[in-house]
Amino acid sequence: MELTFYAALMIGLLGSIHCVGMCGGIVGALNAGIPQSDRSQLSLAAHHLTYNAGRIMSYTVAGALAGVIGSQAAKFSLGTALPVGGIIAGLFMIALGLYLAGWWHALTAIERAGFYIWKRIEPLGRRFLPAKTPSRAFGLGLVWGWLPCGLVYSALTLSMVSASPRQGALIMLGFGLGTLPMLVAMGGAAGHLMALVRRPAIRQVAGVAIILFGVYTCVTAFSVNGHYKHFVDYGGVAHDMSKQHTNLY
Amino acid sequence: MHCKLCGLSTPTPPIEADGHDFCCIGCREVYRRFGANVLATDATQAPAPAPSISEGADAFLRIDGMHCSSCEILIERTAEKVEGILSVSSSYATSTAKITYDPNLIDESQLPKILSMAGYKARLRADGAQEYDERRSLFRLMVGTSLAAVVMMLYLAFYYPTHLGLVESRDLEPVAWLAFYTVPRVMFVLTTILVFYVGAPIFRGAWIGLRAGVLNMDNLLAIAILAAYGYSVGQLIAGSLELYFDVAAAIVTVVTVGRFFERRARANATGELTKLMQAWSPSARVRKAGEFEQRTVDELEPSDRIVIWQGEPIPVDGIIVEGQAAVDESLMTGEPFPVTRTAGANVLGGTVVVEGNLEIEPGPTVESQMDTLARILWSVQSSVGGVRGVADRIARMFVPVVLGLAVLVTGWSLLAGVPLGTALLIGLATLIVSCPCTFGLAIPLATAAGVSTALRRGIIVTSADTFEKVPRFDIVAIDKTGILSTGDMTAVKIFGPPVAVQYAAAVERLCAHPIAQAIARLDGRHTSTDLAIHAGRGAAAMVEDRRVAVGSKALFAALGWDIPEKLAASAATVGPGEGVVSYVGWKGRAHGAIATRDASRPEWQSVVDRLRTNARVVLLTGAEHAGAYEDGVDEVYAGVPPEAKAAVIKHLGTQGSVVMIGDGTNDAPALAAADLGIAFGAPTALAADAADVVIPGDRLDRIFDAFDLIGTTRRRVRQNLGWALLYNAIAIPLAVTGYLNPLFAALAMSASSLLVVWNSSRPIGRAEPMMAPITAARTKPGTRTGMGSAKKARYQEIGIG
Repeated sequence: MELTFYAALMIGLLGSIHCVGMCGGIVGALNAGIPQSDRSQLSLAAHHLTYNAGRIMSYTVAGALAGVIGSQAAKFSLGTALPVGGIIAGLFMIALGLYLAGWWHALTAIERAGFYIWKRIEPLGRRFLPAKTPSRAFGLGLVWGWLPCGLVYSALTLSMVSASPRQGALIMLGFGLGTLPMLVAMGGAAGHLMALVRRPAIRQVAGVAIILFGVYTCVTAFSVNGHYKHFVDYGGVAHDMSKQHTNLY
Repeated sequence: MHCKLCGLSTPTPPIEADGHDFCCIGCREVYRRFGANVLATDATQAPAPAPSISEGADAFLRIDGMHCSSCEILIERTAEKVEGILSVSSSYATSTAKITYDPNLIDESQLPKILSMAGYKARLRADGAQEYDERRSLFRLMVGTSLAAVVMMLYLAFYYPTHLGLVESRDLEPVAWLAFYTVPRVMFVLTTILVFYVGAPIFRGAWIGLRAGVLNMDNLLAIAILAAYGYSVGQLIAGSLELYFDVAAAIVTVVTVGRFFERRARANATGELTKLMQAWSPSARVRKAGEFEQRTVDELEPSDRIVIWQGEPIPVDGIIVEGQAAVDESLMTGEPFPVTRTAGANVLGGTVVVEGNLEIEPGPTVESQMDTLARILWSVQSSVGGVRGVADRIARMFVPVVLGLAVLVTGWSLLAGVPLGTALLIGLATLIVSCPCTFGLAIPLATAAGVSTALRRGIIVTSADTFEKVPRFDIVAIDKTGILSTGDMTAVKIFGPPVAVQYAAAVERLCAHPIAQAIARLDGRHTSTDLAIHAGRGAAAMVEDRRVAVGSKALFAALGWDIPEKLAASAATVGPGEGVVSYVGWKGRAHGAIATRDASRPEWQSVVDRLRTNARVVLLTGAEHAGAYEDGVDEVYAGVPPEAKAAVIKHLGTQGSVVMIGDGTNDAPALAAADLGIAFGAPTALAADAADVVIPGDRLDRIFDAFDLIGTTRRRVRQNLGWALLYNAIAIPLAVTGYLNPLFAALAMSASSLLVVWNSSRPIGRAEPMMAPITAARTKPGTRTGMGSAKKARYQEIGIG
């Protein structure tokens, strides 16, 4: 059962609940950059759309890269019978769920690692500020998609574990699309929605959902028909199973 | 602890920066980058920049080579960067631009050079107009269609049958060298010419768009064409036969053909405006110290002597100082036969000397009615731009969205495992089928056509957004003098013997007063001598050895003559507002009386009745009495001073939408305050400026024409916009889901564009052109102020004309 794309979508959806605060901030900053004369519903929507398009594009590229890294790693697998990939993915998701619920902030450590890349990329983004036109907003989205974010990184591990650039890109695409509804809603300054989402209860529910999903992934990693069998070694040769996935679903 | 940015709980130890705590590095970075802006997510942040009021000279230019709204943007942006240029407003629908500049920094003659760039040629309106050189684009069109025809035929002969499964590819074996070697190379050569020669305007447009910082239709097309062409060339080199030269050829040809017809239709729709502007080239021949000098109108002084020879147009309004000529005034007054003008007579700028020569002196304000009208027209034209308005904002955002969509669709298809060629085709189809040009065209073209048609009917629309006004109004406010009445006095009642009238006429003939002129028209058999004018009261003169006096009661009182009771009683039947009574008397007493009145227009009652079927009609006049009009209307506001007229309109405005019809300078604030201001009859320059619509001439029923026109044009605009939305809503999903072939996409896109153009250039309403193309106003003598254009805002502020 191909869950990859939809799984990523769900993670994006649930995870974006957490991001409301920060992403709302970015959205507000975007709005502030638009000149007064241009400020209509349509124009604001255009800016937000292009910003998100840029952001999701960056995710997709990152996913493809992660997939490449993963496929290289698969080639050098040590030939154990452990479904390493599946377990790693599952563990990461559990960590993510805990982070979302506010119970365990281990993921922040990974963000620090990401910060080193971000330091190089961020100055590029300054060119696009203030984001007066939708095209500039697009450029901004492209750069700011690389912002260190625990949520994105856990999704990236999923990509890595899929050991294929195509799958990896797909996963991140799904993830990005999953974050879209929340960001679009924020773009419209949906006050009630924001208030609702800030309640800890909601975030905890989302976190638990992801924890459960992570557990499920770990468990199914061991089953034969499992999904993350990419690292299974049949007689010393790493077998890249991703080639069998030819359709999206 | 809570994150400064998003308010969530921070980890221990928290992520710190600048003394604040954050929940994650992301929040920290966002805060660092955007600072305080970020904390309020409310969109209404920055205060609106104060609108700058630009005071400067206006110049109007013709610009050839504009073909879409990004051209406008580019020209405006580039020009506004120049020192001394205050604002630029251009319109591609009419190929005109209006520049407001500081005359201290820039001379008008430098403007064409500043604005000619990247293939545009700018000309001052005074430089006359050249016919748009159609030959080059026609040649391109012919080359394009023939080449494309050849390419398509080759495809039809060799490749489509195989694609469609009608023919096995092995059946082509015998002619393999032809089908698989020669033909592709021939197609390559032909398509190359097609793309780079015939399609050159498209690439130029794409380049302009990039320079203007805007993604326009041409960018889409350029990408599509280059993608198809480039891919095919790559395939050719790689030895494959998956060639898409037909797509590239089709796009170029279809677009070129479409644009050719679109340009034609646009020229037709706006032809009237162009003709009028072309006919007017204001330059004057001035006699200075025995020699002749050519000067432009702006350089003329009131003391200059302007010489006009037979066959030439008169450049400005003025008085004849020498000479006598037959003048064709049809352009200004509609009078079909030439009128003889002699020394001392007034002539109007824009009229043509048919026979004879004239030397004139311009009036104290060097101006001409024609100039004012022309300026209004140019102003309207250059503001019919595609840049403003919701539709064009849609157009501007549309292209990036479509581009993004096409990339997304292609990427998605590739990810889904679709072969590169097919994915490319789907992406191309998406790119091409969308038609943002319909958004950009919809409003300007219909508006320009509306303005042009109005002109043909003798109605001048002074601002492009007049068409956005709803033609159904709740209240119609009408000024009395000049609208319901003609502004000319006529005698309406006569009391006494006929000889009184004859004497009165004789006396009054030499007086200038309108009442005197009205009386003088009654009879012509006697002449008078020894005229004595009693200012404000009347006049007296010798007629047939009698001293006859004609005038008001006050005159007779001053002369000591009495008025018989019976006469006084009869005269008293003329109520206030129904007329002014002038008594005629000799030998110490009054013998008769003549009541004169501002004659009402014959059609006023029927027009008011027709108006009353849909709206409340309110009479708004500065005169003390409404007179005979009182019963015809719903409400009367009489004795309204000029400053108060605008206030009355505003008050009425709280009860519904208001149309104001007026003509005098004192009506200008009211005209500006109304939802729709119509300057009718012989409006003064200020009234014409303040109004949205100017209807010169005598026919009051033409206001219904104006309403019709506004309504129809507005409907047109809506139709166009509706079609634009519908078409894109259907076509783009079709293309995205892979149901559309790029060739069909190109066809569909062109057809949609043409449809909008055709709809806009359809004739509006009944085709009843005026006899003369435009009958302009006779201004009321002495009320011309020569202030030139003044903004409505000014009126509304000061409230006084």
